[in-house]
Amino acid sequence: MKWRNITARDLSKIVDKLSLELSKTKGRSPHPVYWYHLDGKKMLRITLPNIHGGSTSVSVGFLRQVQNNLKVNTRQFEELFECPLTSKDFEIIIREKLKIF
Amino acid sequence: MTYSSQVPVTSDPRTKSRGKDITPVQILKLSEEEGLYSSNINELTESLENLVNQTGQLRTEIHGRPIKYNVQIFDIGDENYKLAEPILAIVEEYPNDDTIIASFPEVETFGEGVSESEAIINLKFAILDLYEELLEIDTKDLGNLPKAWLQVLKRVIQKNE
Repeated sequence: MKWRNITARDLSKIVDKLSLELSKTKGRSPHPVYWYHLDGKKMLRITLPNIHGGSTSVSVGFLRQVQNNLKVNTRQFEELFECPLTSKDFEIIIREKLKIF
Repeated sequence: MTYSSQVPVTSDPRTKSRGKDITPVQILKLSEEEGLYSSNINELTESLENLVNQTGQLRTEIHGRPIKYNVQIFDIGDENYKLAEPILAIVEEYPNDDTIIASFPEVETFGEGVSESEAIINLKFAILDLYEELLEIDTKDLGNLPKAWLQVLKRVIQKNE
């Protein structure tokens, strides 16, 4: 199955790419949470796997949830951490999804 | 009409035109002799092979799909809070990964675990983290989605007196 070898490190590329801000949660949950901002507002909240997972593959179930948090389809999700999808492309997708013009 | 006690008799309408009852094997022999269907056999064989391949692909695909079911959560797992109403969570079991995901889709939150209970506990943690964080943020800094999550969580979670 696809997505077998995606690691926490691969997913962490999204943080820089989309300029995600680390959330100030109390940290009960073991995974870091980030905010995606648009027009100065917190728009999306993304839970990423703990980077200490390092080179271990992230489970398909977890990846599905991250994809869901990001509001992108499977192809766009893959392109996000494989590079072709830029932060500007992502912004356009989110503006369309959330109907922000 | 006569029936043989040993050989099954077909009700195939093709036998009617022959004016007698015959077995499926006899139909096949007669068809071969008469050259009937011979052109179709190759097509049928090909179709059958395609079906076998597609069945195999579907089996692989189904095997990778999660088993989904709902569970009700009656307690949020923190003595400072209680639930005004039970939360309906979705549990997804991914057999290939030995992973279970419990989620509360209305607020886009989830917990992961190797067992159902671990996933649900982590979901409770994630819900409380989200609730407390949203309470601390000025609502004018929140987009429509986080505002809607806060509304849901305010309805569901109550502070214990």
